[in-house]
Amino acid sequence: MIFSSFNTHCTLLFCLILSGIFHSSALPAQTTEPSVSIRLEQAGLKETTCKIEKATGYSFIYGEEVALKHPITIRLKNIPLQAALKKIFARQDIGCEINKRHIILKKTNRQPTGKNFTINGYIQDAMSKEVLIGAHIQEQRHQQATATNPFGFFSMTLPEGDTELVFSYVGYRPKHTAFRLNKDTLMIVLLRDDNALKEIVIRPDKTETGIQSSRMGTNNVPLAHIRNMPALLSETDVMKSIQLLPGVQGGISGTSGLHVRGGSPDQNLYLLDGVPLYNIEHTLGLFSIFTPESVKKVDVYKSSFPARFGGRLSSVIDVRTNDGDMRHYHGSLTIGLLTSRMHAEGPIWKDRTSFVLSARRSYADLIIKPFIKSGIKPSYYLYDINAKLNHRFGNRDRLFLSLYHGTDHLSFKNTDYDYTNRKENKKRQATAWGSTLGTMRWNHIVNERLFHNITVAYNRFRFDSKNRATSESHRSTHRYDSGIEDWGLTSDFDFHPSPSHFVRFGGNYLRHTFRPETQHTLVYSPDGQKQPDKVYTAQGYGTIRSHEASLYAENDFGWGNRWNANIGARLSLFRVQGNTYTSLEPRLTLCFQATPSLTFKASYTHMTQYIHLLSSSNLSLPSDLWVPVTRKIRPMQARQYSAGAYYTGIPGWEFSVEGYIKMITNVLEYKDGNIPPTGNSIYWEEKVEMGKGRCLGIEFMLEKKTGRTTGWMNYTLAKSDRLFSTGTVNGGKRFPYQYDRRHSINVTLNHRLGRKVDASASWTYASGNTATLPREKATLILPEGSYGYEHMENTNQGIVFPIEYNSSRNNYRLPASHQLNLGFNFYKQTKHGERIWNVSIINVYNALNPNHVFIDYHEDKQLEGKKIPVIQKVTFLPFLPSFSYTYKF
Amino acid sequence: MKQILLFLSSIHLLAACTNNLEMLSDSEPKKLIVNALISADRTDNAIFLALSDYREPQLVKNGIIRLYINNICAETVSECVHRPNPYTSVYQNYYYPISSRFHTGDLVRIEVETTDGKYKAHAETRVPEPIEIVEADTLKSDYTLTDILEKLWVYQSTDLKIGLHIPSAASPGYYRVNIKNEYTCHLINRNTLQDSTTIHTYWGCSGYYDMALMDGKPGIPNSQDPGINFIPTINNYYNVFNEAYFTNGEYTMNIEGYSSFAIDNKLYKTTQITGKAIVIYYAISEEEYQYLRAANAYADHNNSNLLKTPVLFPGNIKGGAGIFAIENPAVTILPLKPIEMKDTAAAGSN
Repeated sequence: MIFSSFNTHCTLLFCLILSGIFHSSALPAQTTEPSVSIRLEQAGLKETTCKIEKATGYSFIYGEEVALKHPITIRLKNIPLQAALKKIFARQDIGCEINKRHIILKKTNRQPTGKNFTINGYIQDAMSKEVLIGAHIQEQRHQQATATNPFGFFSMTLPEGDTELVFSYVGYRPKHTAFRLNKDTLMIVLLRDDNALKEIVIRPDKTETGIQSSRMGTNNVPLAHIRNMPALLSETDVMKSIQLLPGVQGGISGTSGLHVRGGSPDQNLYLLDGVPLYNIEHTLGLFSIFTPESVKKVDVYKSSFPARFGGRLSSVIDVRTNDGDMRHYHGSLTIGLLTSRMHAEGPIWKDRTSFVLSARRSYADLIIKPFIKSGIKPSYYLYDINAKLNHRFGNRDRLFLSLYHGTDHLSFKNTDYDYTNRKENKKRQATAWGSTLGTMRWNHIVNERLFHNITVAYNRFRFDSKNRATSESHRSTHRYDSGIEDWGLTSDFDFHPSPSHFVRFGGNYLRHTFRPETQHTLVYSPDGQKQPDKVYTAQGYGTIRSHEASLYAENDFGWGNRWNANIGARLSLFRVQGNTYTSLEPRLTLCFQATPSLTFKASYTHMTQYIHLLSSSNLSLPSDLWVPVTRKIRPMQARQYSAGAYYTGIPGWEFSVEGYIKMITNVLEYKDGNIPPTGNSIYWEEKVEMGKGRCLGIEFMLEKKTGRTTGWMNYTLAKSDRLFSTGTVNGGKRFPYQYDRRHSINVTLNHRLGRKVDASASWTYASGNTATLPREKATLILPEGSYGYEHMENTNQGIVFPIEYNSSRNNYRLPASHQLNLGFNFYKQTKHGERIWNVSIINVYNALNPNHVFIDYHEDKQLEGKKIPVIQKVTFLPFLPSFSYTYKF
Repeated sequence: MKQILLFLSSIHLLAACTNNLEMLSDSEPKKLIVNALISADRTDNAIFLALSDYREPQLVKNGIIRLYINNICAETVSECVHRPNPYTSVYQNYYYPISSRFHTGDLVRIEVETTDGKYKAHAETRVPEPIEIVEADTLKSDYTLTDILEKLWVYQSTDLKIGLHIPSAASPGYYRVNIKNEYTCHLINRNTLQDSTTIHTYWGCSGYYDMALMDGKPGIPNSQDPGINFIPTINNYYNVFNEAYFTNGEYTMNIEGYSSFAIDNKLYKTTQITGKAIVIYYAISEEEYQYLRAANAYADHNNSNLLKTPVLFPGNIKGGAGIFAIENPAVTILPLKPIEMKDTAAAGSN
């Protein structure tokens, strides 16, 4: 390009010199200016110059860069040549100079007026009119770029003048547009799906996630990756893909829990279309509630959190769902080993209103029912429903109504016979838990520079358990329920005041209603005279209402060609039971582009969390209770410092390294020996202790984003520990966090074998996490009159006997675990759609990874009568193939 | 609960297997275990010493204990007494007797070391103020007599209502309760026709229907538990409670005393059984409260259960492990419903 331009100018100069030399010597000086009469109708440059040459006898000299902006239509009669040329080339940015018998045309740069204008609008799929989140908009002349926000909206302010825009999005054909910008412009850009790119192509985008964004510690998880990865029971799952990112630990094998950069699972903010969710798991974490068909975009933030996010310390998982096809009906049906699911979407009013409906249900209960004839009859099922309505009022207004409802239901029936009393005893237990989420969202383009989103949301998580026991002599019913309910109002603004600034601001209000637990027990007595009925009610803290409000603002701006920054702050407020906590949370990210392919970033993030999850188990249980901060228990806070380098010098590849230090204060742990049974919140403040957490690590990520083979490989070196100085937790000594894994490696690959088959693989390696093991034996004393265990009897001197003794928390490190998973998708086009067979193999080489350890005692062959303690490991998920069938129409 | 876990586990884990990982290494340094739950109203208390170890704890017979009351050395004990008892563990059969008398508010400190000087530990506690029993009533009392295998089994349960008052609200109070049922049985030897009297003692106290003892969740007695309860039943084996449920220092507690004992029905004819319930409320230290809660969790613990969190025992022994605590009791005695003997050869009930 440079050479081309240089040659053009050289040619022009050479011609000028030659013409100057020859004409000055051979021809007399031109003294009289000819008049011109000419008529042009939609004439191009060549036609125009030919006619003028014919009319005047002058010849034109111009280079390749001289071009008409628009065809010329003009009629002139006897106008002097100079004036005629001025009129003919007016508004064409072409300058004219008469030299001897030559007319030299030059391209002129129009002087900018100093005015800026804003281009804004939505980028949509041309076929479905679905808005595209994170689509990339590049202005070629001024080298500015932006991306669509979570609602598909973009805005870019540019100086008046010629503008060339390129719109691009993963898997879509880029669109180029050039025009003269002389007023604020609203655009609806339609991008077409590029069939040639149907293989997995992942391009770097410039949204808030990705290497080229002004943020760090952020990842966009490609949907293609989520859908293609090998999955447990072929149930593709968003959370399992997130677990393969650097700095993320998955907890127990097969579960969807996330431990991000040394944080606990309750420190993750899960957002479904911007609304916080409290329980995202089905079946003790085997699956997440996000059905892949309804998901449009998944972003993960581990640091450098945007100011609009708050309320959790360690991560934000932002899941956006499809808006629905506004032009065509289509859907899919999937039949798997554990669940079946359907998805349908289409227009209700073409180009105006669309719907999306996804549903999933498991059928293990139906399968096992015929096989259980007597004894305990268990039943378990789960279901999810996602529904969404999307209406476009015009180019400036959109309304979304969405609903999610999901439930797990577990029940047991048992009838046994009491042979002593010759009576039948019946027991029944039913437990259900799940979330309901309703959202109304309105997007409005206030003006060319200001976009507004307002969301009203209702969210409820509820756990409910009922027991009934009936016998001839006794009848009792017991009911327990707990939950949390939110009403929320969010208002977000995107503001583009100038080309180099992108400001976001807004506010959020949440009204929480915590119902930690309510328990009713009714014991009926058949003989009311002898023993009256008894009713017992326990209500923990009762219903607790709290208010959480926040205001935020952030500015994404650049200076010079190399520096970018995102400076923001969030002011949050939490009011509960007469106590008010406030927190100012600054957020800062600096970005320095050393070379076009090498970038350095650093960030500081402050997060505050006002709610806690009381969990009594290693596993996430639905009966775990969310509780707010109190006068005694202060909010958790995390300050995270991170720095990183990012290299994109090899086309299609990205390399990054990020280091972080995260300091957490007021992190909670139950006091030693004071862990209550699950679902118990009564006087929980007395049972927990506040302490400090320390998490540090470095993450390396190599990612291949384009081509037939894509994927990533990452390595994380991390450390995470806790310290409770009061001595009630681990004797006041520092101890490692349970999921403190020093090393972890994740490799994931997707490869398109042909048009009909693609293959995927993931391999994970992680050094062992920690466990608390009784590494010695000590003696225990019980009070007088108490009963011990096994052979112990009550005495007048108390009871003293040996026990297994845990000297400290997380005092044993498990061996490393590793696992290879493979997946294949077989595609076939049918008359009405496409069918896909998915085959997944989990734990291909049957690695016996430890998930739980305990001590067992074996006979010591050397010392007769003595027992030797042996550590036993429990392994889950051995070699496990599965398949599913999907039909898309 | 177990069924739920099994069922969920089977869905969740699909398949699980257990394998030997490795032999537990003998790497933990030995700790001096000091165990003493001393009753302030007695002068025959005991301190038990042991060393933690890899396979089994080791008895410490060469210990020296210095006991200070309000910073004055009250006694030094270096004799380890052996009292053989086939029904108790060896760790209980060796003990260091303490004869000091303690009073409310006393600051008591012990220093323990082995004669070789290898292990040293110390602990400190204050004698808590006892709770006041202001009212005690028997609400209901039932008994059952059953003749099984030539033994007369006596079962009795008694519902009690106890009014409590905390005399000083200055510091948080921690307590435990237990009931000692004492029965005097008048017997006639069927062979010799001689009269005799035996005394049976049975400790039995349940607080399943009490708010404070059930940590706010009364009314889920184990005996009536549906057995497949997702929310586990709270057990309070050692009947500890704190003043959280007291209002203005007052609380009315519902407890059940129960007892079970047998009389040789072949040899003796039982003519009369009278009993009394000795209800004892102990004021305890916070350390003992936490320790007994841990013991409670330990009783319910199952190492191989993934869902069960391992129990760490808190304590107040510096340089070692265990608990040194002094309990200050308050006692009330209630007569039990007399057991009428219709015909001791045939079992009856009331």
